Amino acid sequence: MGASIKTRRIKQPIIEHGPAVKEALQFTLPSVIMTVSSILVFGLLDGFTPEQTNHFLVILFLAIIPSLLGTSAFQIVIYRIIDENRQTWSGAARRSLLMGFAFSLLFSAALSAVVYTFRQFLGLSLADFIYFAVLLLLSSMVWTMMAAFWAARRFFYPVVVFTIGYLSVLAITYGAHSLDAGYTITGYTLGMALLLVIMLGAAIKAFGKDQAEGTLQGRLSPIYWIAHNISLVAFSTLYLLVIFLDKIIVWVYQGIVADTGLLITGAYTIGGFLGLIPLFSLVATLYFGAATRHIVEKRYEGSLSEIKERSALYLRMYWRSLYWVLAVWAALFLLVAVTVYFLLPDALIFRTTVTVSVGSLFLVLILHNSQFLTTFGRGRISAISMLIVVLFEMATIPFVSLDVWYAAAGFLAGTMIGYLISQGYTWYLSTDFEFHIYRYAARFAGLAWK
Amino acid sequence: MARGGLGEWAHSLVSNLREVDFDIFALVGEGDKPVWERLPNEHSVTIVPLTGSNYKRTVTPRGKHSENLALFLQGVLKSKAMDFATIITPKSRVPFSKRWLFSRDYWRSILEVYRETNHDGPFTEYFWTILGLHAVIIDTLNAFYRLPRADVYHALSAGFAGFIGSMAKAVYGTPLVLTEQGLYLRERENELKRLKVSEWYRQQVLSFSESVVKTSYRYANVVVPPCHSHKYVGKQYGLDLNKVRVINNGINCNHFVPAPARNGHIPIVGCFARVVPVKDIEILIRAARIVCQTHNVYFIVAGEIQDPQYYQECERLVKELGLSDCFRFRGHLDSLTGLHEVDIFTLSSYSEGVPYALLEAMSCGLPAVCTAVGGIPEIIREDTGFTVPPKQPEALAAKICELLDNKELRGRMGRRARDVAITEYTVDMMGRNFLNLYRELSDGRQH
Repeated sequence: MGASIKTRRIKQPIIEHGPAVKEALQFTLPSVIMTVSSILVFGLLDGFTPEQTNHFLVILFLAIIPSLLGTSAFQIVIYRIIDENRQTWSGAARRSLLMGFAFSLLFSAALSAVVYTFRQFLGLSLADFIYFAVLLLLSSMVWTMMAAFWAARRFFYPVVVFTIGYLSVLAITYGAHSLDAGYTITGYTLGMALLLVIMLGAAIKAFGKDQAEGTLQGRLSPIYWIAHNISLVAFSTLYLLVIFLDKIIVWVYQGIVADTGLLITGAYTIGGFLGLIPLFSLVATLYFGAATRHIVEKRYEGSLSEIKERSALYLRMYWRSLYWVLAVWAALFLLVAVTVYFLLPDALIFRTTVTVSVGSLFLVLILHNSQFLTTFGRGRISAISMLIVVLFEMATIPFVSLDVWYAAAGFLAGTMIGYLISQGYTWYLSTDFEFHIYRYAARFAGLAWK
Repeated sequence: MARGGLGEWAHSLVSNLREVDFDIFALVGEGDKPVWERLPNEHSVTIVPLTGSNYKRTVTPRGKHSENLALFLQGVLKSKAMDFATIITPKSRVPFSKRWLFSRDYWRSILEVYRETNHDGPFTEYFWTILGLHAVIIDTLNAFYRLPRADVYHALSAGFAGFIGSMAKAVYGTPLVLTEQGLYLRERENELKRLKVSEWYRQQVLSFSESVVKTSYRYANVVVPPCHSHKYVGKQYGLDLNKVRVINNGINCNHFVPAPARNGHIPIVGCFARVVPVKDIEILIRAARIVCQTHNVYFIVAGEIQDPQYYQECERLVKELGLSDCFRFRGHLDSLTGLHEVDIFTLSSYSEGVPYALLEAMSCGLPAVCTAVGGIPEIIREDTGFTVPPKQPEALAAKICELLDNKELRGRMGRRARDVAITEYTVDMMGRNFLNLYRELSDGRQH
């Protein structure tokens, strides 16, 4: 029976490692520089009393953490809008940035109103509150712009412009601190404002009207994109939350004990953030995503044997990059553990660092698997994994009074369980790869079927 | 549901068999609505969309049932007649869930067929085509659960109607009559020729259609074509000629009577057909061009425009050939009124059964010039009209011209056509034949 379809043999994709490594490093570099330079510069702020240090960090983290969490959903919207309008990406970027700025303004206003009612509990003066509100808005807008640059694949701006800009922020902060410790927050705020201006200039250059133009074809409604990417939105928001939640629990607890609102300074904070350094093994996950992007885009093309070849290549890349995640994590873990052990001789710092470091391995592995799972439309598994981490972290609340280290233990336990779930599902899908990718496509098409 | 020969035939049958209670079960496409008035002996009318029906309760086949369903659907792709006993029993009361199409059993079964038939083609095209065809089969299987019980099932085509009737025969043992006014497979072939699809896709759809037709032939107790030529076509697809009983179509000859004589008018040639590709109206337009070069004549096409794109193509051709003054599309007309306006009846179809329009025209005393397809050559005798090969506008034009040039011949042929209609093609005869058939089957004399 049947005529066979004449088909040209599809040239099987080869993995271009160089560009993938480059893209992964471009994505990671700003965070690495930001982290390392922040640690160095904040370590140099010796004009502060412990109370002033805490006060400064409260304002900072109160602005930065919510700005990250609050804009994470909108960052997905920006990605989707620009992705939908690849032919007219600059127009799409401009439109989505305007929407992002509007959202940042509304979000900042709403959260500021909430924080204002808790101002006294947090120990913020009116001036502190104003710094907080301004920093919240500035940070939100900066993260929004970063998302637009990444989505439009304009890597130069986040890698170079943001990095240099952020170093300037730290330089201005340090300079202000050197004049008078009381000016530190002013310096940081001015620095962030300057960073925003620099980034805006970069955005005008990158997304100016002489770039790709035309009528935007895809949907532009943020509500639509959030509704259709609810798993991804939940995942990215929860991912950011799990990074900070254990620390927030400890800060609140310590603040209640010390009767000072939030108490950020302390051994747990140092250990908790140092323990996150091995998270940069994420670079191998980013490499996996970049290296296999074209395989994923073409996963339905060609004959069955060609599809199987491509699937086998994808799986090989998955395992190879998994080994790289482990290797980079191990190297960073050793570096951090040895450094802390010898340079910061505090048992709580060391325990917390090691615990959070091990937890960060599982967190990176959940992220690694999330790319795989998204190929099969199983983004909600990753979101569920993250939710489990959140729940485990929150479950430690009754125990931090016994030992704040339990917050880190909750992070570790949650990431371990979350990883087991995501790995189990990943393994299940990989055992019959082609069946699952077509099942996903069929389910997507047959949404109304009973 | 549709206003066309088959719908008219069915309506005519039901309205003339007042002693029989009919439950009408209509498989429809999207947006189709009833066009005929409901008759007193229509006990119920169930309208089921062919695709996209939702059911409150469904079952997802598992284990052996799932394997059997997978094999069943494989058979559909291999042009085989299907065996319902493996997937449906009298105890089955719940439709299948189409989510079963996401199962591993289904996946394995389509991989098997892919490897057997098309190991080098684009897999995604294969997957979506097969999934789509199988989804339609599942919908049709499920439509069975809404079929009312009856003493005899009468399917009006060997396609999906015959498929559901076959299921009813397999499950309930109820006798099945299958009438084939048109040839389902031939119509699918012609439809596919007009579509821009790959040869592979064409073959898949035809294999699927062939499987459906073979299944209908397998399960039918009696197959009733309207003409003898159809049964030989059916034989190619496994039709047992012993099951065949030809019953002529019938019309109300007391209603379709000749028009009063008219003189001194410009002759009108009328084609009474739906505007769809199978009626090949483009050939008629080309024939009209030839005729209009030497004769003062009008051409009309009276029939519902069911294919707007095809209609646009015909209109473009009319303009292109400069026939705007003498060739008109009149849309749906009352048959009698329309037939009384014309002097010559014509059909240029490339596929037909026994067209009602032709019988009505003969009953109205009109000579006919038609393409020799389907049962037309059995109806048009030498002395009632002319038949010409399909797709030949010159031949069609020549015979139309012959009739236009000879009024006496037109009259003679028209009177003879009327005689043939009232002796062989009355609705009473058709009704009696079918009534006898239903009684035979329901009494269990036919197996």
